[in-house]
Amino acid sequence: MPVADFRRPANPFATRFLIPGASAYCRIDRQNGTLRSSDRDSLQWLLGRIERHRWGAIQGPHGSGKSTLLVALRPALHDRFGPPGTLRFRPGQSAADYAAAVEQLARSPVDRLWLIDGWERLPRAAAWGLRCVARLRRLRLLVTLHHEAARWPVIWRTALDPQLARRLTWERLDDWPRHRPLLMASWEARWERAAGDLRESWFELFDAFESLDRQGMLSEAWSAELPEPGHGE
Amino acid sequence: MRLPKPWSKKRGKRIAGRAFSGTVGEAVFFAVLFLVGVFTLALTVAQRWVPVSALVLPTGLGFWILIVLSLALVVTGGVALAFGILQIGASSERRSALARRAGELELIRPSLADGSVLPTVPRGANLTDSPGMRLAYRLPSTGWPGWRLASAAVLALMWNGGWLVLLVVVITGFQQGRPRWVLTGLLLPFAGVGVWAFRYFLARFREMSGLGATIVEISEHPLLPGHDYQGYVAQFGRMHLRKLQVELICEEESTYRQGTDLRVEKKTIRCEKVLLDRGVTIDRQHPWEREFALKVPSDSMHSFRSPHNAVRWKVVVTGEARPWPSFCQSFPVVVQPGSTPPRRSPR
Amino acid sequence: METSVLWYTEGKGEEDLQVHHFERLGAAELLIRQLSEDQPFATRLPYSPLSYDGQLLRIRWCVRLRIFLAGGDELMAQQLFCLTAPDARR
Repeated sequence: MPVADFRRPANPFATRFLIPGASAYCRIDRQNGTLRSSDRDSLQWLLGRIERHRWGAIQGPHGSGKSTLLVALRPALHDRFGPPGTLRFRPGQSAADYAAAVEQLARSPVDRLWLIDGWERLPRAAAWGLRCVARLRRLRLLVTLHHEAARWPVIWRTALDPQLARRLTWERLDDWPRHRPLLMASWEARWERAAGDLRESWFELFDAFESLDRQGMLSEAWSAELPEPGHGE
Repeated sequence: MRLPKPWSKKRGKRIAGRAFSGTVGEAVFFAVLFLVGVFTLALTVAQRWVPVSALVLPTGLGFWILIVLSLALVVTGGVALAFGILQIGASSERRSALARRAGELELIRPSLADGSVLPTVPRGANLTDSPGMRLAYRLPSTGWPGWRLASAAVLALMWNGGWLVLLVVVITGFQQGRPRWVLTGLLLPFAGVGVWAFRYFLARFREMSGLGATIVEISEHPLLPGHDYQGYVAQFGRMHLRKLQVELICEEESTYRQGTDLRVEKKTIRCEKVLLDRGVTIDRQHPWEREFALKVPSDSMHSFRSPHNAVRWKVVVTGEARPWPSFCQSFPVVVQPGSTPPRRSPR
Repeated sequence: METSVLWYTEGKGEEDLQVHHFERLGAAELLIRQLSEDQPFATRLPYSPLSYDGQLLRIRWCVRLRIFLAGGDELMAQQLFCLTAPDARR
C-alpha cells in the first residue's frame, strides 16, 4: 500500500479550517456596519451593547460569521462578564440533548453570561424551557439567529459583502500564491451560486482544489523524496 | 387442463402453484380488500351522519359491527399488501436482519471502543452470522428495489380510496334529493385516473415480482488488501437482462454541517469490475449463478468508520434490463488493514 | 506540558479525532525534569486507522505537544507522521 504522504499540505478549505474561530473575525467598518474583533473601540462599543441588553442576538444569514464572531468575542466577554457558558445546537440533536442544556442553565451561577449558538434549531418546548430557566437565574444570553425574532434585540448584524468574501478567500490561499489566480478565476460565479453563503462557496473550492491536486497541478509545491519505509530513524 | 391459480399455497418450505401468478393474484386480492373496506367505511359513516329521511343508521350494534369490519378490511388489505411488497427482492438474510433490528439499518457497526484490536475498523459481525450454501458466508444486502413499487401502491390505493369516498358522497347526495352534479361529473375522469393508477401498480408489481432475490456469498470475511477470495453470486426471478455485473466498490463518505442542514457526501474512489455477463435470461427454474474471483487491490485503504467520516467497501450487483426495471443491490464487506493481527479460526 | 499521539480526519466532513496516547506533566514534575534534554516517550501504535489520503477525507497521525505557560499562554506544536501497514510501498 503506498505511503500516505503526510507532507502533502491540507486543503485550505477543509472543514477544520472553516470551523468558527479558525479564522479571525474580519472587519469592515463600524460606520458601514461591521467590526473587527481586534479593533478596540469597536469591541468596547459592542461589549457595551451586550451589557445594556441582558438578552441579545447576533443576527445574520448563513455563513456570514455569526459563530466566528461569538468565538472571537469570547476572551473580551470573559474579561467583562466572567467565564461565559457555551451551548451549541446542531441539526440532529435529541430531546435528551435539549434537556441536558436546560439542566446546565439551571445549575449555572446567577447572572452568568451564556453564549448560545444556533438558537433557532431549538424546538419550541426547549426554547421555552431555556428562557424560563434563564429568567429565573437572571442569566445573560447572547444567541445567534438567522432572522430577527421577538424578545431578541439585535446586538449586531453580521453581513458579508462580495468584496470581503473575496478577500477572505484570497487570504485562505496565501500558501498557494501561484495557483491562487486559477482557483479564484470563477469566484464571482461561485459566490452567486452560493447566494452569499461563504461556507457554501468554500465547500465548492474544496472540490476545485482537490481536482487540481488529483491532476497533479499542485504537486510541485510539496513533492519531496520520502525515506523508504523502515529506513527512517 | 389446469388453470393457473391466482394464489400460491405454502406447504412447509415448498410453494405449490405458480409463485408468479400467485404473487400478483394475492396483491390484487388484498388491494381489492382494502378498497372494499374504504368504501364500506365511507358508506357507513355517511349513512349515519348524513341524514337521509328514513335511511339514517342507528348507532347500535349493527353500526359498530360494520365500522369494525370495514376497518378490519382496510387494515388487513393494507398490511398484507405492504408485506407482499416488502417481500419483493428481499433475501431471507435481509429479512432476518430487518427483523433483528429496530431503527435504522446498520449492518456494519462502528468499532471505536477502547480495547478494540482494530480501532475505527467496523466489526461487521452481522455480515458473517449467516452461513452460505456454496461458500463460507452469505452477505446481507442493504438495498431494496421496491421503492417505485411502494410509491405506485400508495398512489393507487390512496387515489382509488379517495374516489370511493367521493362516490359515497355523490350517492348520498342523490339519496337526499340534492344531487351534487359537479362532483358527479368529476367521478368519471377521476375514475379514469384511478384505473390508470391501479393498472400502473399492477404492471410494476408484475415486473418487480419477476425480480427475485440476489445472493452473494464469499469464501472469507473480513477481507485483506492484496489477498484473493472466492465469490459466488446468484440472481433469482424471471427477467431478461441486457447486462448483469458485479463490482467491488470503495466509497468515501463525509458528513458536514451547512447552515441548518446536515449534509452527507459520498464519492466512489475505487471500482473494480469483477464479473460481467451480457444477454442474461433468468427464470424460476433457471436462476443465474456464477462463481468469481475477488481480489482487494494491495494499495487499498481499509474500512473506516468515525462519527462524521467513513470509508466503506461493498460488493454491488447491477442488472440492466428493458422492459424490466434495472436493479442494484449492495452487499457491504469489511476490509481490514494489511497489518492485521493473526485471527483465530472461526471453525 | 501535555504530550499526545493522536489521529484526526481532515477534509470536507466534520473533523473527527481520537487520542491514542496522552501524557501530562504537572509543574512539580517539570521542575524535576531537565527539559533542555530529550524527553523520550513510548507508545505502541495500533493497527488502525492507517494514514490515508483520499478525495473527501484524509486521516493524519501526529504527535502533539502543548505547553501551558505560567501567564496563561499556551504553545502548541505538532509533528505529523505516517502510520502504514508493514508491506507499504511508496
